[in-house]
Amino acid sequence: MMSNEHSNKMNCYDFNHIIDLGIIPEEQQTLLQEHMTTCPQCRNYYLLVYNSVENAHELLSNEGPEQGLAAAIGHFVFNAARQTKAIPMWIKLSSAAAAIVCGLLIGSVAYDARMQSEQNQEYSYLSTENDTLYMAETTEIMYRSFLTENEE
Amino acid sequence: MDIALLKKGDQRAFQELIDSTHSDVFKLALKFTSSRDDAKDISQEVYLEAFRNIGDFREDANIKTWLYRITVNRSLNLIKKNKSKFQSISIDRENESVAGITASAHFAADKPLENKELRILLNTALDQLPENQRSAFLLFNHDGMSYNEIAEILNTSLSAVESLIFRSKANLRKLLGDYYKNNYQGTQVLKSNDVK
Repeated sequence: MMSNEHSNKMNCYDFNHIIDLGIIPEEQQTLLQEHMTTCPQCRNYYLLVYNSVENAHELLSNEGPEQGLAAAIGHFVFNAARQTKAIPMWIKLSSAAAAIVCGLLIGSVAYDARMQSEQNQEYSYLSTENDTLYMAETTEIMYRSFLTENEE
Repeated sequence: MDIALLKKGDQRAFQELIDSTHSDVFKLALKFTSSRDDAKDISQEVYLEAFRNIGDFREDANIKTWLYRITVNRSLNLIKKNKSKFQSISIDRENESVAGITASAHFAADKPLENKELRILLNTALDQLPENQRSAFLLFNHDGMSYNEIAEILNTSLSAVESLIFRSKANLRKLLGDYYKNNYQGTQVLKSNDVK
């Protein structure tokens, strides 16, 4: 531990012990002060471990802002608020309702179209161009064979 | 302070609020961040949030306490967001402290520690505390704040605040004591050997 050559009434070990506890008994205060005047190491220990914690407000930065910060804050706040003006609740609600109605409309139209398409696919055999050509060819062949039969 | 006017969005009333409280908000943010630029940014964000959410403010509460609560939250968020940045600052500060203090210990171990050195070591130790202990300790050392106010700002009970401050002090004493023993006493042993 610390050198004890300077102290008369309190040794460095006891001094450290009291400082570590963080509570200085009233009856020990004079002894501590006396010890610190003769032992610079213990004085530094006191300054760092006890005084800086108990009187931190004296050490921690308490510098104020530069002049003009209040005006700058006001400018910043009012500008930002203007740029992102709050949307009234009635607009928010009506937008939400409109979105829901549009969604339902689009959904129902899409559903109807799909159902219609399924029905058409079920009953139609002429859905493609090839089917149409095939039908026409078949009709022509039947017509020719009909003519041929009649001629005979 | 006319809260009703503030709630109506009266800009003049809000500017008055800024004028009367911005210095304390800035100082508190500075205690948390140790950076004037960050403290300035936080101050601006605090008042913007306050302006936007003034409608939620309970009129029976203290508006300064409300602003302090926003300041603490904003400061902690910034510290989290810039964790890597703050870590590097912390390392720099630690290096500075280790280099600076050890050097001074080597050459003048008997010289009383200066406030600048004590401040660096205290801030380095504060960085190592849990968030809630650090917040309670910094608020306790700001603007003569009472335990009740701290409890309101941190949204916790009075007994929790007492416990947080007690533990923060004990942890700081331990951290600083260990630092002193590891650095100064080693130096002293060297000195004693030199004398012999």
